[in-house]
Amino acid sequence: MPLKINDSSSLTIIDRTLPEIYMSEVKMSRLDIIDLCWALKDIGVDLIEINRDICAKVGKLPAGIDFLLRVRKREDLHVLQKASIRSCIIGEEQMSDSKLMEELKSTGVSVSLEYRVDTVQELLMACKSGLDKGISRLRILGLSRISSFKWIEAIKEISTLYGGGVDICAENSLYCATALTVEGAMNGAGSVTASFSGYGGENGFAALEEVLASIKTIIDPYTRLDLKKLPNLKKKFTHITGRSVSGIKPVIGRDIFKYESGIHADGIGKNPLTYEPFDPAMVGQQRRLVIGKHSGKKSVMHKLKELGITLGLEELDVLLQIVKDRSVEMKRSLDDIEIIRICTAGGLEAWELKL
Amino acid sequence: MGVEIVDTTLRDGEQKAGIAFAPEEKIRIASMLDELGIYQIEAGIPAMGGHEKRSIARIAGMGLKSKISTWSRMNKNDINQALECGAEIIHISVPCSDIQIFSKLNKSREWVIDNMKSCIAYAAGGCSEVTIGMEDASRADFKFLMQVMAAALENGVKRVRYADTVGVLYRQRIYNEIVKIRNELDVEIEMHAHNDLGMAVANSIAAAKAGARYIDCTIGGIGERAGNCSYNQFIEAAREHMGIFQNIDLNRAMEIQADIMKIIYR
Repeated sequence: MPLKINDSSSLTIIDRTLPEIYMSEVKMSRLDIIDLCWALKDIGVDLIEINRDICAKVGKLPAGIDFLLRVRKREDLHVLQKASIRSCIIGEEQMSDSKLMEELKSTGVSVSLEYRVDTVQELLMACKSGLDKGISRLRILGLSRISSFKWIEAIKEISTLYGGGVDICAENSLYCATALTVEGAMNGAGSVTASFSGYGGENGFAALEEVLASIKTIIDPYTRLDLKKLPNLKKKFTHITGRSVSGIKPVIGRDIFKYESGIHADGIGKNPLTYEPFDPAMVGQQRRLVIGKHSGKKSVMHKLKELGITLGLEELDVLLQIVKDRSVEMKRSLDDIEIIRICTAGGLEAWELKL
Repeated sequence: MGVEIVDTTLRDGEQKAGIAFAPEEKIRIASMLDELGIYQIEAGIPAMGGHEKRSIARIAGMGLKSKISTWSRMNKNDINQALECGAEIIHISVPCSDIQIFSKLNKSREWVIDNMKSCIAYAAGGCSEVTIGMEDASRADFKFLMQVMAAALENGVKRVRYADTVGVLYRQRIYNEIVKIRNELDVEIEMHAHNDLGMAVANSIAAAKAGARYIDCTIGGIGERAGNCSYNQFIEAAREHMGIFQNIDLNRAMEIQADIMKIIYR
């Protein structure tokens, strides 16, 4: 069911992770595919894009999930009927196959057309591509060279021409895919297509988790999106692909809610929103205080409280200096065990003698 | 229109939890950034004292082509530490959102402007340039931002940093705000984007297109939480979208970035 945004508009979230994994020749088991489908649905994906081979692998598609089948050949049409899939997506090449288009029309499924566009001029030319051919939704793929806002007017116009609206599927060759996708969603696009962590294609796509977190943070905090299960989706993805996600990857990186700077620790201690765009719990994560070169006295006090250690004020000053020096020496922050060792009997005194 | 890069790898970048550059590493990184042709290197936070302050003073004394700046909170103690380092530019961070002013500092908007003026005057006597940073500008009342900038300009500041401290901006918004600022005030804008929602590069490009002449970047996009605008990504995007930085040797830039990344992620 499309997402309701700001009580007035609706947005269909489409995910293309599975066919991208398939095209990268990663082997997926039937269970892998089903698990990933449920994990995607859990975080709010409305339509999961698949292809004929993925269908064949799964056999019976899980009930309760809506799929978007990539149709590239006439044989793909059998899958539509057999698996009771109600939506499909074709490319420009398929549109010129009149027999295929006739058969598609007779199935009664909703047909989207994927049309590659990289400039505003190409977008304006794409406007009417699928009209009179039974296309209900126009997917705009690419957009990598769009930098001005002129494309927004084109999107609004195209939205009025197609019953199913415009689907934004931005590619990330110039690192703006998420921004363009969010912009499209804010300006009348009826759907957006992304992939988990932006996986796939030659240069990646808009990252699904970034788009969803942006919708929740910037566009409509009350939208029904529940992103707490993102860590589960990440786990499934890394298990299937064998690819790790960067520690600083927006929304899902393991390090993004760690904080060390004394200034930030002080602010977060008073009100976490001073230095966080949203509560880490919104995306199924937790904030974590790290002690190192940038720590201040309050951070160290907070950490000691966490560890159940009590020190006097003078000892605290000594510990802070030790922490900073050790951190620079080791060129990293200190872990909890190292802090405990420094504070245990004889530890601080021994360090004090060194200072 | 030219755009200058302000690199904050040695300040915001190093604030990424877990990173601690040794003094000699900060020196090496500064030299490599200088070789990249970076306009300004934000070398660190002198108020941290100890190794940090000594490293910054050494970098400021290296005679690099890049301008060297330091980051201070809005208080005279921090500014004193900064003055002692001898950097050309002192940057003063001015909390601008109500959440920063009230929750973090327990102060008022009036106090922020009064204190900012006093800090600018205090710093200006000991360095070539004072810039101010509107901390958490993207969650601040826009009218208040205009008041802060107007007050800063009246006190001799020429460049103001628009900081998207928690990374919640989007292209249309930052573009429109910077156009509005430049229409009303004769001020140079420096854009400081964070990548919490994956839009730091896009927002920085939008800011540059709206007239921000200075863009903050870090090598590898490292920084607090999901990091800052990545230098290499910004350069690549700006070359395509704005036709600038055509003279940068991208291969050499990639090599230097890789060398710096080896230090960061050793």
